Amino acid sequence: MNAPRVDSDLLVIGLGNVERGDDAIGVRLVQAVSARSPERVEWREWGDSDALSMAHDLLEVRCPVLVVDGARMGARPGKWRVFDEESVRFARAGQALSTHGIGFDDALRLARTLGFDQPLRFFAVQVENLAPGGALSQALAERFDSLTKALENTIDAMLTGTACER
Amino acid sequence: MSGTHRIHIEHVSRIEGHGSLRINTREGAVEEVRLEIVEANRFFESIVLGLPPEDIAQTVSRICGICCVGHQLAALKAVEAALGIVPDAQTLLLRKLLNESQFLQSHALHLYFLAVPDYVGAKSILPLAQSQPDLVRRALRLKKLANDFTALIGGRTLHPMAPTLGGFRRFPGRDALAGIRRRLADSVTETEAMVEFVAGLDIPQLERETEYVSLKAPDEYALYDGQIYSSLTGELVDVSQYRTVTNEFTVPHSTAKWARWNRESYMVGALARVNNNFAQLHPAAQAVAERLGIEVPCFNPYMNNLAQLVELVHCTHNSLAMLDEALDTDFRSRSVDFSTRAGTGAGAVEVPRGVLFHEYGFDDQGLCSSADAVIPTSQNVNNIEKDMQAFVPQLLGKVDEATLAQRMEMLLRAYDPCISCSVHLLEVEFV
Repeated sequence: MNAPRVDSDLLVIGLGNVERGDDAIGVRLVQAVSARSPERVEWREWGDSDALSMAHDLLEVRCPVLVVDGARMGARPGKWRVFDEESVRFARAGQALSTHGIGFDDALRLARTLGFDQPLRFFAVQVENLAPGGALSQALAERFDSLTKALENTIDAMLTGTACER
Repeated sequence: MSGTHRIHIEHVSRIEGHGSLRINTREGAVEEVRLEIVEANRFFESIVLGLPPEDIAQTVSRICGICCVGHQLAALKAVEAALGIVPDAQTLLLRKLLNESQFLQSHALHLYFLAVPDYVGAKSILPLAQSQPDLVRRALRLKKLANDFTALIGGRTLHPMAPTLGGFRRFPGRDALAGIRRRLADSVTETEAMVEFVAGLDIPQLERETEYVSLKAPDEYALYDGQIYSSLTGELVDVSQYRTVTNEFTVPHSTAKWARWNRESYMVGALARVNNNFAQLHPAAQAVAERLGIEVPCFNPYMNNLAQLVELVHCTHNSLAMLDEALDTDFRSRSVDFSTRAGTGAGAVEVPRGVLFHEYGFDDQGLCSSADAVIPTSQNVNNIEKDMQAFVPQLLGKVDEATLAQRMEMLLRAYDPCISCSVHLLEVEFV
């Protein structure tokens, strides 16, 4: 169980299903980087969290957030980008017919509606293969070390550019 | 408000799975009212064939992400019945706690996030969060608490790994049990606030008497164990004879099987349980039922939502008592030996949406040779359609088409259907 309250300088959340190919990239990167992270950073792996739990936990957060996840964004596999939620449109948000279908985008909207006001950025990696049970695609596996370095640099930049609101 | 309507709602939202409504009326007369179940077949009963007994429960847990605990428990009970395994007292205590944690999860999810939006004019949880932020925050806290409760007893929230044949693979720690107990006790005041909110909702006043079917036990409000009970006849049937209750049959417009027992349809779920076992509810839950205007027997299916709140209160207080018992228990692991043998066993538990039946057969090599799962929603769909066929004529000429459609969607949601689970049909004949 994740302790819900976060009072560090930065919360880094890895999203994705580790049993579904490149969808694991968010969790894998967080696992790799968290082992050598500064104490000011807190880590979460939300590989199997449901959206309502995510919304609940976001409401407890008191510092900036970096979400690490795979994405379909029209780039070549393994390409990474960092962006704010305001700069993108989530294609699936609000489209779910039931709670089986709601995801992080809906959780974030719900949390924002209920008062979650911390800055949130995405570190997104273009995925290639989302087959159940599969390992990371060759494209992502070959770039894993460089992705790890890019994530570390992104975290450093956020730590130097942001201050925690306590 | 003409009496002629052509209503076809494809993929009703805020239910689990895919179902559609078709309502055709002409000049005040009902031509057609159908609940179409269009979910694809799941084939779980075929997937488990050839598996050893210890793999069954974990596999069928995947039938549903919401009732995964119930599917596990029903499967464990069925396999244990086939193999002659008798769980000990500590196992029963943990299973009952696990089951009730799922009731808290599921009832909170359905009541707050799927049903309430209809009653306050919100299309989904997001506008509800704008108009009722405190209500939604309470709901999120309760859902999170219930998730953590399940994870503590079962090892994780979804598809728990701790329960196994005859016992548990791991036991919850005392400090963690005390922590969950504290949070659950704190939730009582938040649930009371929800009771006051729900008491103010305008529930449609439509009644149709039907047969209410649930488990019934002599010494407790039956959620984990009991015999099958009919409100119509007072008959008690052993779980091993569940097929004489469900009498499944097929209809052309549904990929889920339908069920009937002593009349054309029957209802399972929270309202059926409250109707059948009201005297065994915790006194606090009985008081909530009175506050909400539930007088048993209650024949209004929309009141199923309110019965879920009654059960939420019951499970809160009952779980507090069971957690006290767990805190006084020195859990000890034990080995469960069972021999390979041929046989068949059935198991049943109440899950949030109603009574759930599983049955498994094993061959001489001890491998699964037959499987059957009868899910609450597949028992309810026949009754839902009968309700709609009764209520549409009552509403014709009194409400406009949009309101008529909304009332029928609300009725469907009131049953908290999990259509994904209900589809287990292998031999459909479309005409």
